[in-house]
Amino acid sequence: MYPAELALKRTISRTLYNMKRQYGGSVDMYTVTSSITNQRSGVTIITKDVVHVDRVIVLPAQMTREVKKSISQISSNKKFVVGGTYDAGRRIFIIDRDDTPALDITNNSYLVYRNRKYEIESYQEYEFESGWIIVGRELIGEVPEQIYLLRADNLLDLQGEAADVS
Amino acid sequence: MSANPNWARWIFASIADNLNTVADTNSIPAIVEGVDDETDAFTEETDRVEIRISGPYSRKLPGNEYHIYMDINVILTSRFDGAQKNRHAILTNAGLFHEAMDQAILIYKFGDAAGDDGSYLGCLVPRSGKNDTVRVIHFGKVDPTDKVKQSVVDARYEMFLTSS
Repeated sequence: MYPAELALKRTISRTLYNMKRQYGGSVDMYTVTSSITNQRSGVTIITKDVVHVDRVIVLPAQMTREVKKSISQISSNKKFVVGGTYDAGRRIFIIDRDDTPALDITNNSYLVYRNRKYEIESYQEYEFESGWIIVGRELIGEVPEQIYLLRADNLLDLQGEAADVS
Repeated sequence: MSANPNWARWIFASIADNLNTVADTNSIPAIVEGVDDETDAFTEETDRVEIRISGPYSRKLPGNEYHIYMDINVILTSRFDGAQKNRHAILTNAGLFHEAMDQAILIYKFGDAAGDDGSYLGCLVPRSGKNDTVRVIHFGKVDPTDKVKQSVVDARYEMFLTSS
């Protein structure tokens, strides 16, 4: 790596660090590894992996009311001019790759932030594999179906006893 | 004698009432487009329907008789919502409206204006022409990112009314 690139990488890392301090939040990143639907019953079995990321830069959300009109809808039903709307939000997440070296993002990944599910609309990588910028799409009301990692801890009482050392 | 000015309202109200009853009976959140508000509770439902009513289109016949046409479509919206939800949910709902819209709809003089006594006005029946089938159309997932699928049940009706 050239010295100029090293300097740029350091600048990006420093910027990410500062933004994490200001806009930091924790997210769970899910990757769907398989999804099988029984065509007779409609029951779906989904398997997925989860990676918890403690510090992610979370930028403000933009909420919109969406209506999609594909050419098939328009051509099949000319009376269907309005309706069929749904609410969605868009939020940008920035992940420092140093925080999650094992994380791999695909278009089938989604993330959960504050119990709200964000599908990945698009993502791009910073230079030198320093970070990801993710544009997440939230469907208002969607169930995130989270995996909760089980943790157990126990606080031990510290007790001291002075021994008479002579 | 021209068309009765109350026909549009009576027919609309009767159809809306009929299809709303179908939705209520089957616990499907529904709104009538152009009448009901889209509340947050409604838009957050995993399965919901919007009822759209167009018409009347009328043709005057000899005497005081009118040939009335109506178009109705019910737009069904369904989120995927992971493994907890059956992927056939939208098909089940479409089937319920397909059944309901393949039948006659009774038209009453609903309303609270003078002359709105709730009495029977006429019977709207599905049109029987070659291109007048009751259609269930699946649009599938409507966006590459948003896990929402949509279908529509579309039907065309006719009835004869006499203007007095």
